[in-house]
Amino acid sequence: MSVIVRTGETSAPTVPTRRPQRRYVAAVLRTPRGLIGLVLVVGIILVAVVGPWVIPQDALTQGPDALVGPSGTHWLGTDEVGRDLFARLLVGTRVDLVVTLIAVPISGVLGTLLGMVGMLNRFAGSFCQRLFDVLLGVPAVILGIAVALAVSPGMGSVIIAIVLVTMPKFGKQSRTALLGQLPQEYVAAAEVLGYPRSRIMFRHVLPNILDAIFVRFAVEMAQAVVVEGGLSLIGLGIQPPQPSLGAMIKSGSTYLFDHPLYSMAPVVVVVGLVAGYLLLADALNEANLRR
Amino acid sequence: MIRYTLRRLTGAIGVLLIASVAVFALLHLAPGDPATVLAGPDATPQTVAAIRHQLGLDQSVPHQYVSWIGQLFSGHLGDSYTIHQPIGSLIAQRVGSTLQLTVAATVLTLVLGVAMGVALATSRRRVVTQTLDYLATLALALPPFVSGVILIFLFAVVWKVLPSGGYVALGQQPGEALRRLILPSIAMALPSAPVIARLLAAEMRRVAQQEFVLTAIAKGAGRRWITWRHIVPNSVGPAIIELGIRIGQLLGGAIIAEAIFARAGLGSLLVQAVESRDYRLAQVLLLLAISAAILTQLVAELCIAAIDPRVRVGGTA
Repeated sequence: MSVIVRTGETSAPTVPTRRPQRRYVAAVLRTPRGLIGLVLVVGIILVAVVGPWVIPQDALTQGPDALVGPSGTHWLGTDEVGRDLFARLLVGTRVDLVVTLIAVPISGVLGTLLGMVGMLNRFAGSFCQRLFDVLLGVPAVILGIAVALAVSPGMGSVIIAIVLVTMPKFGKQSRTALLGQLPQEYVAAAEVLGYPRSRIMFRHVLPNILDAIFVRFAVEMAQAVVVEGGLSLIGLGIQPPQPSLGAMIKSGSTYLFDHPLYSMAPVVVVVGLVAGYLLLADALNEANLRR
Repeated sequence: MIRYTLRRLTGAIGVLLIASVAVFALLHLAPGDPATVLAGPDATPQTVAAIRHQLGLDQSVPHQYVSWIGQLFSGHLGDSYTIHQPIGSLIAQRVGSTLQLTVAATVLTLVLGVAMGVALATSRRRVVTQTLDYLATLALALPPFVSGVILIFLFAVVWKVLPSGGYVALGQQPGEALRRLILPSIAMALPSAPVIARLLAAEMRRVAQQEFVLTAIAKGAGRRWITWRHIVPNSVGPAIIELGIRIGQLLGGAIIAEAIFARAGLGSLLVQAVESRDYRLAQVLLLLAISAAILTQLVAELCIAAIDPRVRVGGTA
């Protein structure tokens, strides 16, 4: 058998040259899903980051005009204490992005590594998997509420909740991907060469399972937006007066008749973000399968 | 089957034990002394000591845990601190609302999921499958709190055909109670149904390649008969397991739906308990929700094992 040639081929993606990567990004963008997803996510991030600096209104300043409709000064109108809804929408989106973009990367790194631990120590590996099973058995909202009971609700508690909800999924994903890589010849070759297991794990296997982890990352970003929104909506997430998408949807739902934009605007942002991440995940997955 | 049942059962009990320790520990993880928090800022030291004694906080931690578990099993849940009513009767008053909502949402998830899944797997027209696929992605992107508000806006504000929320006991006004269940259960089922649909469709496409389907075709059975009689029953396994897991998530969704649709249920009670730092009530409700989630998952796994012997044999993985 042409063992040497084949290992040479399979280890090629471990040392990626620039061109396959560029082709990978192009493959993601060429599908309509990938393009729409990217435009949605990047668009919302840009508006939320730049917006609050550009518009003159402040998210916390109360004004004399409560619950007025859209106008030149208040693009989306005002809420029940006269705060500008557009400013609150932008800042709320920003808070959501900050929370999810802190929580999911932490959980991604932790989960991926804990999922691979089994390669170094079987006992630790199965312990981590059982831990993930326990966490997965608890509904996300319940987990978030439990965290809010343990530490007082706020940005910190939401971040912890998102990490607890999403980490086991990364763990399971990396475990599955790892088990798929272990029988491959490049792993055997590295073992024959006498490399320590930790080196094989980080230098050889990890780069090869990253594409699966990226798909998971996009899916869990969507999940994180949902968790943050849900917890803030029931009052156990981001605390007022700090604006949040979930809390805006909830307080706006009282005024759906006279002032539908109050809760519809944050609804649109949440749907845009979640759908954007999910479409990106789909496109990434497709690109991975085609490779 | 008995061995498999025992193995799953011990697993579930193990998870439940860990969960009970974790829920119990919440009280001790909390910042500050719970008794002081509960007593309020201008409580006398005597009041704080009395509350501490009542909570059992003056005893050793393992002793507290054991007596707490004992209370749970004997049904003596004690009184809620903030609502001043027995926890047992509070739960009894509210459980109906949440149960109705979860059951309705589960049924709807199953019906929508199977219908979409079968359509996805059997339709030969690309337009249909593509549209369904996009609809599925859209539904996935609609968490209950988002679809809930949209549904209220459309059906209660614009068209005025359905009530925007509230809870009526099923026994008193069955019609009105059902009408009020429609919107929240749709909101809860929307993000779950596509998951079921995709799992079912994938499995159906796999099953359709198998020889017994060819035999059925050769026998001259109709397309519809083959789909519903031969392919669907052999493909529901993964979807049922997923549904078992989803019911737990639906319970979580019920908490959100109760907030949006202003229904008095266990979810709104839990939120109220956490907001007022009513640890006893919150702990009982959390453990109840977790047990329900674990139980439904267990039931789904056992159902599948009863139907499909392969699961029992290969189920170790």
